[in-house]
Amino acid sequence: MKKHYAANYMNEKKRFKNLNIVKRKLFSWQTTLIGLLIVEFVIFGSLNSRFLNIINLMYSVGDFLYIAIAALAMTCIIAAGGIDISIGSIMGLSSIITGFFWVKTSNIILATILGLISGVVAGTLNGILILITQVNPLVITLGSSFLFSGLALTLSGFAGSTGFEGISGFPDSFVYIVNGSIFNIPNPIWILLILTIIFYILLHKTKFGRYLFLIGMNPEAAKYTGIEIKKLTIYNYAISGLGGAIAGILLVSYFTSARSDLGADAPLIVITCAVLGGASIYGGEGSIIGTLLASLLVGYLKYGLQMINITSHQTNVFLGLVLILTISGRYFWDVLSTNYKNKEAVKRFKKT
Amino acid sequence: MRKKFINIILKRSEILVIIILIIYFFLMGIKNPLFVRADTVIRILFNGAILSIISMGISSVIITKNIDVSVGSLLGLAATFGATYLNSTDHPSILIFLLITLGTGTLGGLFNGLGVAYGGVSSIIMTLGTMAMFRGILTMYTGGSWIDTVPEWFLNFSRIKFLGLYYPIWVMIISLIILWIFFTKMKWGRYIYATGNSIEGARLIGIPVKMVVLSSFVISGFFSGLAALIYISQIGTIPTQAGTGMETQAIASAVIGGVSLMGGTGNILGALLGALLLETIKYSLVFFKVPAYWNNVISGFLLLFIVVITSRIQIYLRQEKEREIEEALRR
Amino acid sequence: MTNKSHLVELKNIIKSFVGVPVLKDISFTVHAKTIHGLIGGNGAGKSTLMNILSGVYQPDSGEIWIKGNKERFKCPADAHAKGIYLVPQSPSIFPYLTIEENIFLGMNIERSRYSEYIEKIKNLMNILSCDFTLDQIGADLTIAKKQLVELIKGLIRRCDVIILDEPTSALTSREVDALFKTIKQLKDEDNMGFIYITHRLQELFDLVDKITILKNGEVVSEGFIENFTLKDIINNMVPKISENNFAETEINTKEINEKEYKGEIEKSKVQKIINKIDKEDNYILEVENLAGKGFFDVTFKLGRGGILGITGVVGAGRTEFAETLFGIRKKISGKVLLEKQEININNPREAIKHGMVYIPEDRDLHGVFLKANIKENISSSILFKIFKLFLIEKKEEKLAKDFIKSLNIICTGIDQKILYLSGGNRQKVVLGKWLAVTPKVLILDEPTRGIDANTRQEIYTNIKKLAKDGVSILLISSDFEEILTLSEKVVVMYRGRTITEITPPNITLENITYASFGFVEKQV
Repeated sequence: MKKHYAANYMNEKKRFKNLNIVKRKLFSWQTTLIGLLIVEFVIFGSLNSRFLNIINLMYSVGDFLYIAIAALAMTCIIAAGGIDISIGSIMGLSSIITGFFWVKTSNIILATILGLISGVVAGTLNGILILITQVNPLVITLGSSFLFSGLALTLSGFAGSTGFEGISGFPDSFVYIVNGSIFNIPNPIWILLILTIIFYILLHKTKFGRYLFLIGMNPEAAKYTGIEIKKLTIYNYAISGLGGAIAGILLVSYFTSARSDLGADAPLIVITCAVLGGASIYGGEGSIIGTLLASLLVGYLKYGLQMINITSHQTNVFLGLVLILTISGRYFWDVLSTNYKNKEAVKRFKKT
Repeated sequence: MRKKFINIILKRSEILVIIILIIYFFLMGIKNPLFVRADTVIRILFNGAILSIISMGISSVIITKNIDVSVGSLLGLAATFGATYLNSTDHPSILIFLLITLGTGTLGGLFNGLGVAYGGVSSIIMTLGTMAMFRGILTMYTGGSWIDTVPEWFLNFSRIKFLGLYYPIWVMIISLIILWIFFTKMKWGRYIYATGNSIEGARLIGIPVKMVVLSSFVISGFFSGLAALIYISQIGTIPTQAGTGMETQAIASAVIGGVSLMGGTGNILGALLGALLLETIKYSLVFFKVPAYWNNVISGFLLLFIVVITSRIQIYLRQEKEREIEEALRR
Repeated sequence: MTNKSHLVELKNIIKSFVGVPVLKDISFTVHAKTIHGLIGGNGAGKSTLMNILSGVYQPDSGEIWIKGNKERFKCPADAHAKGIYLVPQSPSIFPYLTIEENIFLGMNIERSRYSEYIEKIKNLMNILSCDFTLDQIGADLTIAKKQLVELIKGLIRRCDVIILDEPTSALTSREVDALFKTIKQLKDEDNMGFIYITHRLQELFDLVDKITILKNGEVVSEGFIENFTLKDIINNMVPKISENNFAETEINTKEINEKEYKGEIEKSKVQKIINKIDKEDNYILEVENLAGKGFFDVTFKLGRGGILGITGVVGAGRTEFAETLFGIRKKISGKVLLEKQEININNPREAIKHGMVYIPEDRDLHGVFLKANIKENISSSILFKIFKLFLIEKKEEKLAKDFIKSLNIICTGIDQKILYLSGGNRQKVVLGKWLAVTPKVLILDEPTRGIDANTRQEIYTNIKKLAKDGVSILLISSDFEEILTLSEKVVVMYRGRTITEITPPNITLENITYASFGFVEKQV
């Protein structure tokens, strides 16, 4: 009996060795992203030597800074099995609130803080509505995205600006946030670096982040494990709101004007970046580093295509295709590898 | 009595929309009696034809527990292809024109459906992807410029009246009737509902669920193409961003009209009424010269309000039912 | 040779799940104009057999003959086509379709005959005294009414054989009467056969013509109901103790005794001695007249360091009770005392803080995070206690490694995903996850369901160990043998109530079996 047991044990060990190799291959997704990034640089560099100009490369981060930041927050939401369509509207709302209070109080610090708070409030509202209605987050955040973008438009009206001009006249110190540089390195890079580290620690190194993953993997088991799903969900959406607000305010600083439609086109690209970075739309998977790499990939793709005179809309064809093929590819990879595993199991069974 | 009323609203959620519509008209009527007249209704129907057709199409996808956010882009693409053909020859054939516009929509829907049903991509990701792709193809095709002329004879088309109603309104009514028959009287329509109710249950009784999901996306795509037809004749110019934001409004319309994103419930008439409610709000804002930006606030608030109310009622009823069962067992 | 008057003939059916044989060479025949009772204890194989007949499962070997023709069912739709319809215990009615749509879905009928069918349905509804209408939606109906709809679905499809799986569990006595009347009527008028599965043995004498009794995947007795008394039936269902199992337990216990469990648990040696002295009157958990959704009156006392078995047939309300105790469901009335203090538990977190943990019945859905690795699973229950804000990887790894060792979890390392573990090892991870919080009371719900014999013995050993070390254990199980092996005291639940408490000299399979079918007075 003991012998049988030992044999069994060895068999299982062997099996897991094989599985580990498969697993390691899957885990190399981040390596794949880095590879793609390098390929991208080589292609664009050969098409247009100006692309590899290090100054240009560094300053172009400002173009997609808001996408990357929102994608970091979105990764937390998707990891917990949710989705936040309203993140784009929250960008617009927080930027308008910052502008509105800047016009009314002339105190940029107060205005910025109020802008950030508005994002947290908006996110919290999302979380509360999702909990009390138990409705798919997609619907709730879709509805709230109307609400927030509408509020932004209305407020911009009150601030005495038309929708397209926006609120301008921000102080230099505020504009400097995104347009300045420290140690010759443009601020967007610093901001992105710091926020990536913060989100990395939040999602991968704290109790909170672990709970988000567990909830995303299996909300039922999370309930049975005594995890406070309700509280954590509200926090999570509040953080997402804050992420949206930071992105929105940085956009104001970048464009030196606050407009209600800032970030209106963001949700698609933001979700694309998170999913491309390894987040599973079904919850329980997600990587901050992956999201960062995907954001860089997407951001520099747009930048590079602009350099060779391809419009951003045309890039979208490519982006959409990449998104679909990635997900579909992973699905077929899963199907094939499971089939393979099952066949192997049958073979082992027949041998014994 | 109260429960009975709640039950009716839950089962026929379009009644709730009708009540809200009536109250809305009543309130607007108090403010300005001129608002309440046949002309207003006709204008709302005329303006709302595009949105309501898209909402009805998207409902077939939502009923299967999927979502389609590519309808706006697909509308733009179909309109662009159609209008380009109209401008390309002196004597365009109506048949080819219809084939191009409706065909673009149908093929786009087919692509979505293949990805979701057979490609293992979740519908939100699939259609987010195609949303970007369709828009991209559109701009690549036009080179980023607008199509600003459409032959005069075609523009007149939308202004032709038949029995006192413009032709886009007729298209909307006929679409409603066809879809209504499809969903209530035909086997395949039932299959769509059954799949949305429970994909496993549907598979067990032998329903080809993959084909059902595929077909629902094709329907959605076809109606995007149909909406594009009206778009061309009604608006006359096709900007590169034609149809942007239409997807969110269409989903909102369907949800307001009682088509649940959890799948399996709601009906076409509800989606149409939901679209008309949004359109009524839009029109009233124009009528009372309220700045257009209130539009989104009101529709967003309304959407959330309706979702919260219906979900709370549903939770309440579920608990009520459980209690009944419990009591029955105790006896 | 097959007789044409046999509606259904199952020949030599063998079926096993993950290498565990569930049906061992079963042959079973249903005649026309017969109501055939199929009975057996928990895990006797009734459901599996019926799932094979209705096309949900395919047998590993054996033949299915329908009206003299050999058939192969690949899916339930095939079985429907051949006139076999299963009315499941939990009806699968589409919630948002009307009753009419639910009934007709998947049927191919000509439009011209539609009204004819509607007439038939209305007629049936009349006979069954249904108080719902055809345009109500599925979600509107109670389970009992849904069951009636399922029945109508079967009847309207002109089925030859209808399988009823515990149809009366959610019905009131008036509804039961109506159902029985209908079944009998149909049997005589339409030449139909019924297979009737039930745990309520008294019903058999009112209804069925023949019975077949299954035990451990074999037919143990078969015949006309007149030839049976209630006592015969129950005696036939008392499971046999497999001698092998017991022998193995002894060996394994010794082996593991020597090998493991040295560190952690030694600490509570002193505690152990105290326990032994006080066990009888030192109750750690007392439950008085607790009622909640799905159970009505549960009363028992659990001694410190004791193992209390709670058993009963499926549907007796055991899991509902355990989930209420753990705070997942809301209690309606009654008291729970932990260490003589009355406690009110509203959510699992509070239960855990009180030192009471629950290992759920549905392991993969409620117990583990399949996509997470072993480390993450084990620490999931205790993150809130051992970490303030940041995770400390070393601490987490040590915790996981300790439990992998002490519970003998077979894996490649702490980073292996649960998805790639066998059922038994998954259960060990769940056990580790809850032992990590050092519980006072451990509630185990079906701890060894679907687990191979070896791992089962290991888990038994672990449970005994834990009890010795002062953890009080509430063992909920429908496996009477398991209850017999482990429990020091047994409480039996029947239809939502604890009906009897069986103490040591009387803990026998006979007594447990009798009590779980509601016969308390028979107990000596």
